[in-house]
Amino acid sequence: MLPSGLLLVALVVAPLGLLVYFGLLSGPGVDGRVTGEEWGRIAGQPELYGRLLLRSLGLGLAATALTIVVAWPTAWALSRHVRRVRALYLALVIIPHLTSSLLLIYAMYVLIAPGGPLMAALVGVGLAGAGDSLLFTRWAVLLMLAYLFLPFMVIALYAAVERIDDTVLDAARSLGAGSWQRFRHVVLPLTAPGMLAGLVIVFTPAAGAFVEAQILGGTDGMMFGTLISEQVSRVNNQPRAAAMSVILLVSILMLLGGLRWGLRRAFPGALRARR
Amino acid sequence: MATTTEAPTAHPGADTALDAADAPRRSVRRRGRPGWLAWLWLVLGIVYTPVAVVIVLSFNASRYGTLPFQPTTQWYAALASNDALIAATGRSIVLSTTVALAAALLGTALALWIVRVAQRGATVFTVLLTTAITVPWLILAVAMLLVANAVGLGRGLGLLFLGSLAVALPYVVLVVVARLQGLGTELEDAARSLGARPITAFRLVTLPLIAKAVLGGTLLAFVITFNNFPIHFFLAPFGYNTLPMEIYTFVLSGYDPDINALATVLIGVAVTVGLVLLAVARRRGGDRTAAAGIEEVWG
Repeated sequence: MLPSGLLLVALVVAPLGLLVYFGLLSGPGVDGRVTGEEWGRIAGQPELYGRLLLRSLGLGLAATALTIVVAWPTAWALSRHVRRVRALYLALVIIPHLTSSLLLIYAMYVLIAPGGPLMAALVGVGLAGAGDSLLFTRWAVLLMLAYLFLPFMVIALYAAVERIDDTVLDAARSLGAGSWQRFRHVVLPLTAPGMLAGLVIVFTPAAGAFVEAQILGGTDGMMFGTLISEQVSRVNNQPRAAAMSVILLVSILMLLGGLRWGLRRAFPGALRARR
Repeated sequence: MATTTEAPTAHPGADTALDAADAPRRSVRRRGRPGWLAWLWLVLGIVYTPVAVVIVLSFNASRYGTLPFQPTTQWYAALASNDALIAATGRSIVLSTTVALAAALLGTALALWIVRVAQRGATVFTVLLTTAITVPWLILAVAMLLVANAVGLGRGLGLLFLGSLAVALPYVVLVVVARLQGLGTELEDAARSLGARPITAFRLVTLPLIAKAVLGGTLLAFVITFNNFPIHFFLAPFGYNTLPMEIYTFVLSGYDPDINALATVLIGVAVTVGLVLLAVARRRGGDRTAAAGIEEVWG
C-alpha cells in the first residue's frame, strides 16, 4: 500500500524537483559542477527562447479556447438533447483517440498536405490558392492540438453540464430571465468548475507538446517543447533541457493560476464550496 | 463473475440511494432539437474526417495518395510483411499489458490505503496524483531520463517500465478511489459482524463491488501506456522501438500507404476496445472522475 505511494514520489516528485538542480549544472551531461551558466545562455537569447516560450503558451491558450468553443455546445447537446444513445455519442468522440496520437498526427498530415483533400476543397471553393498549404505553419499545429485534446474538454464540460439542476433554470425563468440571461448568469457560471478542469487537462499538455509541432509545424510552428526535445535527443545539452523544462513547467503553472483567478473574477462564487 | 452481478442487487440502496439523493434533476427532451443534433453530427464529422481520409486512402493503389481512386488491398499485404511494424506492435502490447497489470495491483492497493487508512494524508495524495496527471509528459520523461543518467543507468527497459507505470498509476488510483468513496464501509462491516475475517470480507464483498472500477482503470492504464510517445521516446533503450516510435520514424519521411493500412487496423481495434469500455464503464468514466479530482484541487 504505502510502497506504491513511495513509488510515485520517487518517480514523479523527486525527478521534477531534481530538474531544478540539473538545470544549474554545466553541461553536456548531468555530472558537471554547479555554475548556472545555462540559465545565463537562455536569458541571453530572448529572441529564440522567449519567442518560442510565448508561442507555446499562445498556441496552448488558443487550442484551449478553440476546444471550449466546440466542446461547450457539444456537452450541452449530449446532456439535454440526446436520450438513449448519449454514451455512444460520447464514446464516438473519444474512440479515435484510443489509437496512437501519432497516427492522428499522421492523418492530419495527410489531410492538410498540399494537394490533399482539405486543400483541394479549399482551392475548389476559392478560399486558397493552388500552391497554398496549412502544413508547416503554426495554424497546422493549432488545428492539431485542438483536435487532439477536444475529447478531454468534452468530458470535463459534459460532467459539469450534467450536474446542472433544471429546477435552477425554472427558478430563473419564473423570475423573468430570458434565455440569454439564463445562459449568461446561471448556466455558464455553473459550468465554470468544468471549464477550469478542462483548462488544466487541455492547456497543460497542449503547451507542453512537441511532436505535433515537429511533424506539422515546420519552422513557423516550432514550439518550446520541440527545442527541449532536441536538447536531449540531438544536441545533448542535458542541463539546458532541464532548465528549459523548469521554465516551461513554471510558466504553465503560473498561467493556469492566472486563468483560475480570472475565472473566479468572471464568475464570482462559482468556483468554491462544491461538495 | 456471478458475485459481481449479484452483490449490488442483493443490497439495493447502498449505492443507488446515495446516487439518487445527489443526482440533479434534468429534463432530457424526448426528441432533441434538430439544431443541437446537427451540431453533434458536425462535431463527429470533424473528428472523423482525418480518420476517414486515411481509411479511404488505405484502399487506394497510388503510392503518393493521388486521386483517380483505384481500389486495392496491396497495402494490407505490405503491412502483413512489414516486420518492423509487427515487432513494434508486439513490444507495445507486452509493455502496455505489464504496466496495466502492475498499475491495477499497485493502484488498487494505494486507493484502498487512501480511502480506508490515510485520514489526513488523503488530501496530500490527491494533490500528488493530480500533479502527476497534469505535468506534461515531455517534462516528466526528460526529468526521469536525467535522473537515470545522473545515477548512471541511462535508458533501459526497467526505466521504460517504471516511467510508464508512474504515468498510468494515478489514473487507476483516481478511478478506484472514486468508486470506494461512493461505497462506504457498511457492507464490509456487515460481513465482518457476521463473522467474516477482514481478508474474507474484502475478498467476498468489497472486491466484487470495485471490480468494474478496477477493470476500467486497468484498460485506461493500457490505453495510456500504449499511446505514451514522450515516455517511450526518451526512456526506451535504443533499438527498442514501440509502435508510436515506429510510426514517428515513418511519418518523418512523409506519406506512407503502409501506415494508412495500419491506421485502419488500429481504428478497428479502438472501436472494439471503445465499445467494451463503454459497456464496462456505464456511468463512471475514468477521465470523468479524473476531471472531478482536478476540479477539486484547482477549484
